[in-house]
Amino acid sequence: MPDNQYLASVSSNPVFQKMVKRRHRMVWSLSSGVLAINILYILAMSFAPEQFSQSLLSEGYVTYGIFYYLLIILVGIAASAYYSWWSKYYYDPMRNELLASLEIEYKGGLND
Amino acid sequence: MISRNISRECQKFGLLITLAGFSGWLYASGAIEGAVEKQPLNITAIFMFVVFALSTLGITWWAAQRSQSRADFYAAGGSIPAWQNGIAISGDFLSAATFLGITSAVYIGGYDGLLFAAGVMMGWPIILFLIAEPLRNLGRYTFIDVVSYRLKRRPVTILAAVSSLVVVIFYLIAQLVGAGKLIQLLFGVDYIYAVVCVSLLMILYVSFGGMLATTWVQFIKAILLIFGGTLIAFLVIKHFGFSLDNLLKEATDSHKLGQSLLAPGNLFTSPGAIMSLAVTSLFGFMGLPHILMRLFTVKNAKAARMSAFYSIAIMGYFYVLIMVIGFGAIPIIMDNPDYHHGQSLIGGGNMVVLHLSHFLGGNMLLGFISAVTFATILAVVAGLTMSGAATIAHDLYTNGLAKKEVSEAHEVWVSRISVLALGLLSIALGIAFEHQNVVFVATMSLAIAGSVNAPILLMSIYWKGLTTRGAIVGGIAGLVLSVGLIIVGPQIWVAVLGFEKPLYPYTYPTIVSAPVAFFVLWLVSITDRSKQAEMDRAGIEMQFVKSETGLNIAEASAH
Repeated sequence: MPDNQYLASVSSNPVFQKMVKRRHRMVWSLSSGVLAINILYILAMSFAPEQFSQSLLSEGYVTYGIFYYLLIILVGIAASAYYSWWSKYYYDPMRNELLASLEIEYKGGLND
Repeated sequence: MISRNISRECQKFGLLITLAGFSGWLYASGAIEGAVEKQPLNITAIFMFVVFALSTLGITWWAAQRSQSRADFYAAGGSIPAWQNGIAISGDFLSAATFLGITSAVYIGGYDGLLFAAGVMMGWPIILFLIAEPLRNLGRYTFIDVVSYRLKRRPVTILAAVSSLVVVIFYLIAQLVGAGKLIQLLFGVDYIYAVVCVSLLMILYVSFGGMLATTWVQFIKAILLIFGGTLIAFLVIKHFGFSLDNLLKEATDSHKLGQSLLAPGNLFTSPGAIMSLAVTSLFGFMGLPHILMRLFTVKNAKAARMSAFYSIAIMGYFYVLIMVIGFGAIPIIMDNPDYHHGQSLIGGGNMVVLHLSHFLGGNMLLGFISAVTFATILAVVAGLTMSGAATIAHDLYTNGLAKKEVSEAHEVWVSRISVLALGLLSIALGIAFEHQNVVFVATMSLAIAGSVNAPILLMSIYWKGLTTRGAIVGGIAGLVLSVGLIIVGPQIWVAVLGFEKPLYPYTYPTIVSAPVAFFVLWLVSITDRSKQAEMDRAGIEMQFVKSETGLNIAEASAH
């Protein structure tokens, strides 16, 4: 089968292997990071609710709870922004390098 | 006393929360539907809505000429720019439930209401990291293309299609019943006209304009909603002298809960309740077919990644507005006799944002926000129908049941017929369920998405050991368990069947059913010694190259 031979050549290509390894390391660490922060938030909300109503500054009504909520939103956006930036400057060039070495123009995955 | 008042208030606004599938806690008291009063005819709102409907119908006419081929019909030919798709995705999430429901949840229960928003901000980055790119690289029109890529196509497609259809139809029922009631409130139009009007517009958009029209409807509505939300939040914060501190002070001063308004524990009374919502958010969104389908409307994996990122940023921004609006409504609305009949809020608890917009901007702003809310429902319903039609025609008919090859034109024809069928079905269900308790329907939708679709999707992309048998048995386990636990949970066992205590304490089953589905899927796969299993495992190599690079093997091998 020509397909399988071709495939084997791609999947054993060192650029491909490096690129997959790095992307996987990135996505799984970012996912665990975001999850860990959210789990902390959920646990704090469940078991230390009184902490949430304390003022963030020495006085006033902006509480730790409000701060954590904004932080959760910010973490989600920042992690996504970081990943998009990383992909653009590190991952996409690796993929282009791979496709160039395979002499294929990247058609963007549209398969019909 | 306070808690009884809260639960009575909750009964009223639970309706809208239902739209997002976030119904349960608020209904723990066993209410059926909020009492809905028909409001006087709102001319400004109707006028603005007619403008929206006419312009979107114009777009549909334009889109119809560009939606002939299968790729056009299902995925707008992959022609949607990433930023526009990102706005459309956030439009799917910023539903009437988010806008009216979460603000009402904050208005009534304080801090806990924000957890609904925080859950989305947890689930979406994970979708971006783990799902968006492989999904776009492996599939064509639906996520079922992806899960059946290396497994035995027919059985996996049929299981995933059935589960997706249940998700879509249940979501549709919840949306339509909610929409009917809401429109009765906002526009002063009868329930039945509202349901028929929503269904007819949705049939027109989707059957003629396909994904292109659906995307534009979603996109325009999202822009209007973001604009409306920004305007209200700005006027609210201005009302409190541009001081969040002042806003929160007045909120705690005028709320029955006082200081504890800013602490968790008013809506969710146990750690289990909080955690089961969090798990449901995480897996549920990952398995919603109409959301995943949006990722196929852009040209490649990179654009899918960017659109997921844009949508996360927009949603994050909107959830900050929601917090300001929810807390800011408390001092403005709570003691204002203009918006109350005696003790209760005019029109029910869902009306918080509407009253607030009336207070801040008079009839003009009220009319605008009402029209945007109607447009929001319409857009979400259109997206659901689009996804349901693709599941019926592309997955179930062409890849699942058809004995011979189905031509492209024939498949598109089947999709258009499916849209019509789904539209008529939704009118019938909308009428049938008008006086029923539909709360569990939305919960079930999100729970099935999280317990069947999400485990199969994640494992088929990342775990080479997954076999056809494992996916089928694991998926069925997730399906049976999620439905079963909802039946013996508070929403059916207590609220519908009238038992005193639920056998399963939480509204959402996902905290149990998703892990069990993963476990069964793993166990059955590793013990699978069939010939098919060998082929399934061997397929990972080819799938992997494709999911990581978007490379089309067949095309590339020609070189």
